[in-house]
Amino acid sequence: MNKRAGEKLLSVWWFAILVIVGVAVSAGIIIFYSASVDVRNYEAEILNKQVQNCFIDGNNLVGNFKTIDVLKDCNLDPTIFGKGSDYFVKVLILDSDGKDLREPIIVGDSSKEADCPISEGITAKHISVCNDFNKRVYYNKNNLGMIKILTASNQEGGKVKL
Amino acid sequence: MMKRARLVRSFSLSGKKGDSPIYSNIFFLILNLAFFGILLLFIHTSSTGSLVYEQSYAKEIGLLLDNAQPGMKLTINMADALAIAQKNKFNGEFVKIDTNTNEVIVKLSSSGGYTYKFFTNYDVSSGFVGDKFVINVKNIKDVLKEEK
Repeated sequence: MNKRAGEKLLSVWWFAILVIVGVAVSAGIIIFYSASVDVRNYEAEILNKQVQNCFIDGNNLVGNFKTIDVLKDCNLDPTIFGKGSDYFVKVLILDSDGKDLREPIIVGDSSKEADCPISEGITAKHISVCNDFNKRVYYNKNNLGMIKILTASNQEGGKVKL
Repeated sequence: MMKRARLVRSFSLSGKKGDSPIYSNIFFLILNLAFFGILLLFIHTSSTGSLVYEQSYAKEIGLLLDNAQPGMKLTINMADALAIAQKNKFNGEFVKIDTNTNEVIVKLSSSGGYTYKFFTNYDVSSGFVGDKFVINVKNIKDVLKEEK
């Protein structure tokens, strides 16, 4: 009788273990497959390269670098870089003394710039991921200067219902 | 003697079913197999579900458009995605590139889809050629949309 009671007890525990294992595995699978694929770093890098392409030609700044409209000339959509944008672009063009050769270019959500130092250390959902590019370049033939391009992205995408 | 009698009773199918250990063992085994079967089915369904593919293809197409230049022709093999859509019996528009809102929307089931934005200002045309999705990146949109 005792042995039979023990067997019943064992089966109750066994089913409890099955339930625990089932719930744990299901929760793990749901969390894993519903997690967002984070491509913000690639997006920030691609955005940076798009901006580089319209300012730099080899080791030289393009001739009209002082008049470039970053949205129009770099093929960026103005509606995407409006208020509350998921993106940020900042371009600084400096001479050899560190003085601005043209006014700094800032498009997108400028509050994202503050996320850049934070995102170097951690990856978090609402903290933008940044890409920084600095290069010494020649302008007006032989003058040495520097271009600094900082881009950030915080686009995560989302589900849509029909 | 008692041990032998019990052994005989345990393999006897003519006795009371509830008392026979062989029935309880078979029942127990079937329940376990059913449990792990359901668990494996759930894992398989989740891992080959439309959500994973919708998200990955939407982001892939979005990033390709971000990186594109006018005149490029982009070809993406979407055989896996189409197989998922077929499994879900979905025959609608699998991929939509909305150049007004700069969104890529991928739908592989009737329950919904996944959207991802691209930041470039190109006019594009797209369509399926077999199981490949082809995007032709044209020139920059003529009229710049007004900033919202």
